[in-house]
Amino acid sequence: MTSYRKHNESFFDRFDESYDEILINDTSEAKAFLVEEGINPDNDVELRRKLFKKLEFKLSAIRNKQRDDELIEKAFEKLKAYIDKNKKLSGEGLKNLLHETAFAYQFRNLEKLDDEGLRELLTEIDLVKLLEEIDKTEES
Amino acid sequence: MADSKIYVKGEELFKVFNSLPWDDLYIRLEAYIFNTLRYKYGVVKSNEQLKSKAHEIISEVMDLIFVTGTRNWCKESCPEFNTFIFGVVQSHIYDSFKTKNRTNVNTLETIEEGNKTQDSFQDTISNDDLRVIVFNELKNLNADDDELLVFDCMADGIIKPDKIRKELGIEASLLNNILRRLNRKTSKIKIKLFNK
Repeated sequence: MTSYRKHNESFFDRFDESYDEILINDTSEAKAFLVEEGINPDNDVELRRKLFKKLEFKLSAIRNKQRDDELIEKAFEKLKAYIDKNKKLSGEGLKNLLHETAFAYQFRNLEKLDDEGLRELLTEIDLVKLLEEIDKTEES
Repeated sequence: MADSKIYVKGEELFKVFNSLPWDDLYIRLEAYIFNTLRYKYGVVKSNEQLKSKAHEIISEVMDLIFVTGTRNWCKESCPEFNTFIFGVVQSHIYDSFKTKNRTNVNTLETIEEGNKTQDSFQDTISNDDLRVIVFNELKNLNADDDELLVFDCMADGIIKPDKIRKELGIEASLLNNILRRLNRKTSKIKIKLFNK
């Protein structure tokens, strides 16, 4: 028996393919299709808006986290370079900032913290202020 | 082997999201999903249920692309974001059906029996015979001359809407109307033939 399966599959596929191309690219046709099916997209403005807002919220959280991570990495590199260079935290402003803002670290020897410890510390302080303080200390 | 493709990520991806023509895109996605579920997969559900399913799929696909980053857009292999997102939707629906016994689409009732018999039907009939059968079925479904003309054109292998328009010398809006009607009828015929 001859198998015609491939031919026949593509015979019906061509109808799907052609109309898909229109629905994918033509909003007016997509609307017309939905209306004929009994769905009026004009009634769903709020539904679409809510989904967009929800996605926007999720994306904003991801974006903020990415920015925080980038800032922590920048501060980490800078603080580590500073500690390596000076062997200890000599800048008063910097020392005060770290002690004030990261209370748990008040009595610890900051220059002896390992990389992980430093990163953890950086999650608890004002990073922009820290970067400013390092710059200030280095300039003086 | 390492994946050497360059994907759109980070700020560039946020920009893509912010520049989406959301309302229009949503409507096209909704229509595409609706059409796929009802006419390609033969899902028997009410409009409200299909609408809700379409909303769920759109939400899931947007999450896959923009939130979890599971589906990455490579501009090089797919320059248009529109084409990319519809491709993701298509494979998402396909995957859902493939795993429907295990996971989230157990709410979808399909023409499973029809799909099973499709193979044997397709094994026994030639393309030319099928063309005649479908043509007659279209007439039985009261297809008008325009629909039969477009059907013949497509059966001859002219599939792209632009090419059909040129071949028949008709306006895009008229062809859209014809294809919309034809699409519903050929889907019915497919279900009927494969359920024999």
